[in-house]
Amino acid sequence: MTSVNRIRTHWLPLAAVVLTGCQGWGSGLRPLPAESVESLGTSLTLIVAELQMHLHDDTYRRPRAPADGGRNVFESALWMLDRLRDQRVRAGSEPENADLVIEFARGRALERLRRFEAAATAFKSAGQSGSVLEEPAQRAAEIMRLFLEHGPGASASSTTPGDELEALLQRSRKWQSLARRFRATPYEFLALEEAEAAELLRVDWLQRNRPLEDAIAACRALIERHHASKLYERHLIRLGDIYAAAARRVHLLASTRAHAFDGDRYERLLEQAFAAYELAGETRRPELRREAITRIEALLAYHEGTFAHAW
Amino acid sequence: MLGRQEEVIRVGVRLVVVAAVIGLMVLLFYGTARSQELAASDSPLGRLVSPVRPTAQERVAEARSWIREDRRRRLSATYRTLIRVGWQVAGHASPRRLLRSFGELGGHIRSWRWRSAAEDRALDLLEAELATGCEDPELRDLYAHLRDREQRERFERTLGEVEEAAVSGDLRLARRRLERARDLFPDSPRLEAVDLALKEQARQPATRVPATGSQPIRIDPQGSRAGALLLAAAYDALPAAAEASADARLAAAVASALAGQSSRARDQLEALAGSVGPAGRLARRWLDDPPPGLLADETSLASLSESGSADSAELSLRGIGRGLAGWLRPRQLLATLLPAPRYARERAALRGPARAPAPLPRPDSALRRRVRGWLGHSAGSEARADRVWDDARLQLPAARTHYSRVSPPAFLATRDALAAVLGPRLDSLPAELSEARTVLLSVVSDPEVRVLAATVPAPRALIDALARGVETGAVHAQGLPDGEILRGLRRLDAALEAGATLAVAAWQAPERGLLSALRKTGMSGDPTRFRDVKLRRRKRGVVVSQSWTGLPVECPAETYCLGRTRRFEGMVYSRIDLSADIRLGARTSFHRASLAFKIDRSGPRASVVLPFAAWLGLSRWLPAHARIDLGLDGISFEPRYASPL
Repeated sequence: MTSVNRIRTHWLPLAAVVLTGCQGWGSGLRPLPAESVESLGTSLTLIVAELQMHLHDDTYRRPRAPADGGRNVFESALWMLDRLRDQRVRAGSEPENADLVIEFARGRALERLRRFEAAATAFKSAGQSGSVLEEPAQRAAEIMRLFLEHGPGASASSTTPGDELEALLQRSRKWQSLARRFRATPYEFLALEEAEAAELLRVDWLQRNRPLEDAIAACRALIERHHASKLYERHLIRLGDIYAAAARRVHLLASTRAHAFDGDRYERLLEQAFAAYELAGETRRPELRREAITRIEALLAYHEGTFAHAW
Repeated sequence: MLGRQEEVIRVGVRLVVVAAVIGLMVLLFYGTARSQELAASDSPLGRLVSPVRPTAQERVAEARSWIREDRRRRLSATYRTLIRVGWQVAGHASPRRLLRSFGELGGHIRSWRWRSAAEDRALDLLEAELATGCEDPELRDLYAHLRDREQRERFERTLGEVEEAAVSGDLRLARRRLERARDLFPDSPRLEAVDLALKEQARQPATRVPATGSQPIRIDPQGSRAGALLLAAAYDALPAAAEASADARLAAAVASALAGQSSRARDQLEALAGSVGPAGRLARRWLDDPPPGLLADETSLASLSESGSADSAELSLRGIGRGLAGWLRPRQLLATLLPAPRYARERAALRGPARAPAPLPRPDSALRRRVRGWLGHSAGSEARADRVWDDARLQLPAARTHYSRVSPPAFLATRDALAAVLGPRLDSLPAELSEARTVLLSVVSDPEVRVLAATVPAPRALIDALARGVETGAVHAQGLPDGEILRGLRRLDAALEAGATLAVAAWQAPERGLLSALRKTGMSGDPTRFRDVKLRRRKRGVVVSQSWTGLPVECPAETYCLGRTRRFEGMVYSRIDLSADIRLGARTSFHRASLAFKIDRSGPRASVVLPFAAWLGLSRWLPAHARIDLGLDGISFEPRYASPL
């Protein structure tokens, strides 16, 4: 039997069987029912069910769960609840229990999106009724009020840059204490996210207003304190950016004759920048890996062209 | 017989004449070839440390020289590719290789007029002077010419982006890029054509995309009651009637899951999975990719695992099944496999500095998603991340990215090399250095670091002696052009002048066992050392060799290894390949010509390689050498294509 015939009679059917099996295996473990041409629209029950299912998600360590259409479930739920509310307003419907449910659900969605002021307003509206949601709404509104005390607008206006920096530090500490207070509840994750955001603002402030060494130290502290965060790789990329900016500054000072060229320091900073980017690139998330690789390539290109920018 | 003798004599005379001509060429042009290697333009880094600011004329000259050098480099690359194509055609190379070479040649020709990094550097160089208000006409003209080329390149690139955006349907982006192109060259006639094309495309009816959420949202009869109970976390109060609507049954399944009754929730979702509509869709999605809210409760499983052994075995199997189905996290799976007291310990151990974030869901097979979610919490990622944490402090590991170092490199010099450059002054070095086989020279710039190694009385004189040795050919580094070594020595000297300290220490290569060396070279392909013998992996075997150059076999990273240049350099080697063929040989070289003897299964063989192009200083333009082989089957002569030096 020639080799071509052997392929036809033996291997092709076997390959077909294997491929068909893989396709069946890969397409999931349950057959999909045929959908009707007009699919049913969503309902308030479904929106609330999906929202409630994700209310206990750890949004500090993991990204918010995606919904259909690319947005996360909370944004999607909020959008649909707003549409439903507008729909009822346009229809001139009488207020009823459904409106309380809509408001309370909006409050939960806003709370998960860290829009505490709007969430507090929504909970306050839902807590004025005599329904089963009254007590939970009042409790949630109270917590939102507590959260708002530590929010961005809560601190006293800063007159000096030192005050501003201190305010950011205090804000981060207060959120950390709130996270400890609400440990083992979904509010812990929100408080940790806020603490992380305050520290991130602090790093950004230091980057713009102080020597880069301070920003580097602050960024390292941010990574150490929030190493479990979903933004860990982003923080590493930021640390790499700061190191790279510091290395560029060394070169800039030398090229403008402001300082003698400190090759050791330049190389140390460059090495740390590459190390931070490489560490960030070990993530499984493809978009972050691409970003880290792009940063490395850009820094390499800058370094290779460094010598020509001497004057 | 007399005729045969005449033929032999004739061949002999020819050989002698050819050898004499070659020898004469070597004597005449060796200097040229040598100077080509030593001629290295000043490193731009040198300018970085130079205190003198150049004038406008110097900048123009420098910029022109960079552009000229770049043009020469492109020409030589094109020419080398042409030569390679010629060799391949003459040697009947495979069509794939030929096509690749032709493609390369076409690329060189096409890119001849393109801009290069040299023009960017020249622009920066001239801009720096223009920024001070320089009025030099030559500088301004050159700058205007380079700038015009840069603008044209940007214009072409921007028009390319306009086309890409238009093809992908993003007319807004296409318009923005078109405006950008108009800023660069407002009078270009091509802009009008592109503008018309974009307007035409905008007029075409867009593909109808069904608007998301265009249908009104229903408030089902049980909606507000079920929603209120869910939001108030009153899960037990939720009705679970089978005849309820799909939405209500989904709400009941959510309530079951959040109340800790995962099995019941799963059954309810299974029952819903077959229905049409958003409830069925959501149920199927949650079954395929369970959200965290659907994962089993730890308390209930821990209590289950404390029951009798027979039940435990059954629960363990169910636990494995559940784990594979993605309903359990690994720690819960572990709980079903281990007895309860151990489970508590293991649970505490697992709660470490976990770093692995859950992977984002991707549209592939459901099973793969589940396995990946399970593996997302595996110890692998944690172990990888743990190496950067030292007592909760972040320690960035050493970077793996290769880049050209700015700081002065270290140098390893053999005793013979030092003796060649220092002569009698070698005895003035400390005893441990003058007697060491290899000496390491490196720069220590931090004055607070204690220098444990010895220092020499006149470090700059030592560097100067090494540099002279490289220039005269007394010392060399294997595999590196002399120009690069001189650049390194210059950087070292500049660092010493700036106040750094030269640390000199006896150096010894780290000892490695034979198996370890074989493993290293087998896995990485890098040459390794076992005692004085070098091991290197080749395509089909391992080569074991010992050379007479005295250079260290394993040159450390970022280090230049210098050895004495010998008139004759040689090595003995043996090669063992995958077909159990063993070859023994010896090789010697003289001014890059080499003579080799080898014995293998096909018998003894001798070969001579004459790098005549390098001797004539033409290696950049004519990368070739002549090879003469003599074996039992006769004598052969052929020119060969060689990599440019």
